[in-house]
Amino acid sequence: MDSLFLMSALLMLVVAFFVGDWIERRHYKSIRARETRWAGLPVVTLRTLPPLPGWTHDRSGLVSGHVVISVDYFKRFLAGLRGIFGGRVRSYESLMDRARREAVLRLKEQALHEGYQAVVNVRLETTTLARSSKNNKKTAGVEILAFGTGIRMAKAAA
Amino acid sequence: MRFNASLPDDRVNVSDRSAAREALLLVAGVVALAISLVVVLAVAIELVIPFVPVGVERYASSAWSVLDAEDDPRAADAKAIVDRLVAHWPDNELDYRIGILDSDQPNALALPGGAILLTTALLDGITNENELAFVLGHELGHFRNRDHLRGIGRGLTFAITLGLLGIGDGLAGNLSATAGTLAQRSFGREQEHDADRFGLELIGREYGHAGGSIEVFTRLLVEPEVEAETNATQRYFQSHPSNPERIDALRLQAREQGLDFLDQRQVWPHEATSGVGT
Repeated sequence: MDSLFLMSALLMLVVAFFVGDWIERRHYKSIRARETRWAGLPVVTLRTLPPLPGWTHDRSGLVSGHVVISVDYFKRFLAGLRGIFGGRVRSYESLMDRARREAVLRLKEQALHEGYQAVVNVRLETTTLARSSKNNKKTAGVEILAFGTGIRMAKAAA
Repeated sequence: MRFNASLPDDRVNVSDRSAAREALLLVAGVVALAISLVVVLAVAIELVIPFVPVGVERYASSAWSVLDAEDDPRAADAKAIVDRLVAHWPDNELDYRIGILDSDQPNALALPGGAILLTTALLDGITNENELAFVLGHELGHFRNRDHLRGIGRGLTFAITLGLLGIGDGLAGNLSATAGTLAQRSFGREQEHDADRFGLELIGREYGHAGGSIEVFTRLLVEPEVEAETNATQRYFQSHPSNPERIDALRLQAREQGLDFLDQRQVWPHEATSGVGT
């Protein structure tokens, strides 16, 4: 019985490893493509734009982008082992990196949709979504929210 | 002030190291941790057990009161053999009872507190008293070696330690528990060998020869499929040593103690008065 359990767990780990790896690669490709495409839209953490001669403020508004990402079985297993020995949880690092960049990209997407030319005062917030099972709370995923002020400038009347 | 459009550096926040290699490394670490935990606990338990009074084990015997009403006359005969064997063991402190279990698997069990269970298949398969005497002597060996305390102690302390360390949950917890259980099995096999040794000693003192002991393994407890295919790896997973190993150990011990595997068999059930001295 022990070996049956171990075999199925091992199978799950192997499948999760390959599938998770493929999903991650695909996501990164999409992320890089969109970052390249929208590199021209400034997204900054400054609270306001510096004064621009010849331009006045047209309109501004809240823009945000958020994403929820979950861990695959293999990553969770690795993190569990890390919990015994300590150290960098590398399996989660790529997850958080992707989530953060995806949230910022979605923020840019909304800003472009609204016609803004820049987004200032950008902040990032992280929420862990927990799923309570009978004994403990397991992580159902991570939500990253990126929000800021979108700004559109217009040429000043001469 | 200028805005400089640039792409983020991919390598800064994400590590290059292969996840599969890290997994293998950590799994090896957890398995090693579990095995060393088992070894340390086993040593600690060995040091503590001699100080545990037998009264603690006797307390458990009240759980087996269901065995007291036995209709099978063979139970009384087996008890008589136990009494004769125990006469050669002066340090004994427990009172023993025989229970009979209805089963088609020949087996004998020693239960905490002094109860010995024999299956009907075992009693049906016995052809002479010596074979039964060896089986009973083996079970008495478990009582002498305090194997019940050892088994409970090891399993319990291992589980508690894992829980205290916070490793109990999830796949990592199951992994350490399995590794630990397998490591504990090798200790279990040693206990079986020690019980065999004591069994042979007792029948040697009672009957003056070792007849009947080997037949238990060659005829009674035969596991043909298991023995044919067992290699070293599979043997690691077994809770008992294989029959050939036990037979070899018995032969060696008989040679050391100058016992013959003679053909003098006692009739079962024993009708004549006991007269075979050492």
